[in-house]
Amino acid sequence: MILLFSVFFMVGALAFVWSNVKMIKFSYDYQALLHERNELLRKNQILKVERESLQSLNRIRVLAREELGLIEPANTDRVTIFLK
Amino acid sequence: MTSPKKHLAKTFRTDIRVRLILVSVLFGLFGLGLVSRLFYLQVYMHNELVARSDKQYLSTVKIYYGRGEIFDRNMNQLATNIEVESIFANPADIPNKVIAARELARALNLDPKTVLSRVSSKKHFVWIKRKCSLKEAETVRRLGLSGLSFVPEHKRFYPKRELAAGVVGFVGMDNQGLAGVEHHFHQVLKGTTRLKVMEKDALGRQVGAFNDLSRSQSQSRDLVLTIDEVIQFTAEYHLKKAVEKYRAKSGTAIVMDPSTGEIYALATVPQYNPNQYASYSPKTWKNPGVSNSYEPGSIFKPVVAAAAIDSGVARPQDIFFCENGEFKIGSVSIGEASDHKFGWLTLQNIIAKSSNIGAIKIAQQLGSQNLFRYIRDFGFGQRSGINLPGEAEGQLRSPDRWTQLSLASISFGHEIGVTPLQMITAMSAIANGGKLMQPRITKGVLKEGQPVRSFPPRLIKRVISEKTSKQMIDVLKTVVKEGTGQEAAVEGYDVAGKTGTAQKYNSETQSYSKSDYMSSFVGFAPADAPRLAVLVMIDEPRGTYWGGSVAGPAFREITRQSLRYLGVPSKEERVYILDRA
Repeated sequence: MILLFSVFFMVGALAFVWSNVKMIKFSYDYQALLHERNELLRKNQILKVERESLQSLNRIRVLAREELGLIEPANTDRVTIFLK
Repeated sequence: MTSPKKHLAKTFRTDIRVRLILVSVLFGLFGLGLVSRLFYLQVYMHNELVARSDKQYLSTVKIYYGRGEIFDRNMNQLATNIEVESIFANPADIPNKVIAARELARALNLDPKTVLSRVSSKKHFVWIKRKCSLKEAETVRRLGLSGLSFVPEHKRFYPKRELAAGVVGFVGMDNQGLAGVEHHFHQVLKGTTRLKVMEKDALGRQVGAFNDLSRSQSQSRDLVLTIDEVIQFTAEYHLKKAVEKYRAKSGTAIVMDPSTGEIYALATVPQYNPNQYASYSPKTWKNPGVSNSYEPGSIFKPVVAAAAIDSGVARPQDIFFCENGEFKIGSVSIGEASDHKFGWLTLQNIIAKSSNIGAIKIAQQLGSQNLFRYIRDFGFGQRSGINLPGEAEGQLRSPDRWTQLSLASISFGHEIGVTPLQMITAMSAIANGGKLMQPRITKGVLKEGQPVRSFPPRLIKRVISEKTSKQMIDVLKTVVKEGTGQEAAVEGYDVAGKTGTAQKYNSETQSYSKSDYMSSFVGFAPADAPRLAVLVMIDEPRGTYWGGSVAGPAFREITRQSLRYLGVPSKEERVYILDRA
């Protein structure tokens, strides 16, 4: 009887400790992932800023006119289509 | 006589009792000590020990939600934040200050003497450099100097550089708004800091607290402007070209939706880059479109003509005698621009040919009180309430302070100070059927991408009737078709507008300058269903100074490209209407 009680007690204690250990391990993993996520977000923000800078209309105008040789179409070359 | 055995037993019992008492006393004392100690620790020292324990396993994490972003009307980013690092030091922890200062100065491109004075300070905290670039922070980290610490901070970044800098403004080192909407909406945009208490282990690593600590869930609010990045760029590009071509001192261009008062572009030259605002003269930080007032010159004549038509004292085809180019008011003789000598002109031709004497005659028929009332109604002499700092109200004296010459001077845009914003708002009222709309630069405020506040169009008041508006549109179309504004004509579109060439007043000589002019053009297109009102002002152009020649071409290009961008078809192109059904 005492032996059985001791076994149950041990199992209960181990389950309690195991769940706590597991929770702490998860929280470490979570913190590491959070750190990684923040780092990726930071990189993402830098890339967004770079994209915005590259989309500068002044830069696009220079590229279009000087590198690609694009010109504006005349009014007669244009067709406007309105969808009803 | 007792036996020795009995005596021995008695002595033993006494001895045992003494010992027992002694042990009991000792146990009692020990118990008392234990209880006292427990009382001391659990009751007397309770608060302090709890605090010490919390300090050991709890840590406070500071979460900074960055300053809100600024977008144009199509959600293109105009201002954002980037995470950077600032470096500070505890000088007491730096062993060799001279070497440390030399290494730091080299890595951070700072003056070695300044760094040495900082690291030699007796304070326990000194900034070495705020908001370093990633490369700089990494270089300093590699130096491995003791006594240095790094702290993450947010730096404001304007990805479009000079674009709309006068409207957006900039922030200071501590992210406080210093100019433009950054200043006006500082309370809305400013970032928030939240403190969160978390458990930590023996190594200082955070444990527990599965709540989201990420910085992406911003608590800040973002601002959406009415500015359109493309139209703003177009306005800046052509304004800059005009300023450079005529070697002018400065220039201002405003593009507005006349029906709502929304400002699509507010351009200023010279420009500045808000990312490095300190490298530019503080004069360039101003926004002359709203904070400077000028004598408008002839672009003010449409206001006088509209007032006369609306009050019924004149019609567009009524004729006025223009005194063959010379008109005396008291001892002052007033002439026409370019020494023109006009005889009889209709009101329409007075505006088309920009006759000063004709404008005086119209104003005289209107009378001082009436003219003043209409000028006030058109929004002059008062702030419009636009959400930008430093708005000027202009200069408009009440008729009781006018001189004999004032009515005449005001009729052709002198003796009155108006801001470019007031001028385009008034012209928009003529264009949109007579309604004075409040000019707006902000469209709304967002929180986590959802609108929490909007700035809808606001009618200030009806200034002139729809009929007057239509008559004025016809009058102003003549200016571009046959009058002084022919260089502002846009191929394929009907344009209405007015040129202005105002001599600038020199306060030193107390007379009008013979060489310094304000050349301007204000108009709208398509004339009969206006989508855009555009104003271009060029300050002190060299070579030629006529508003039609200096500002007109810039107006033409800004209007042409903006109408094209907005999908307003020209008369020359083919238009198809496709029925989805």
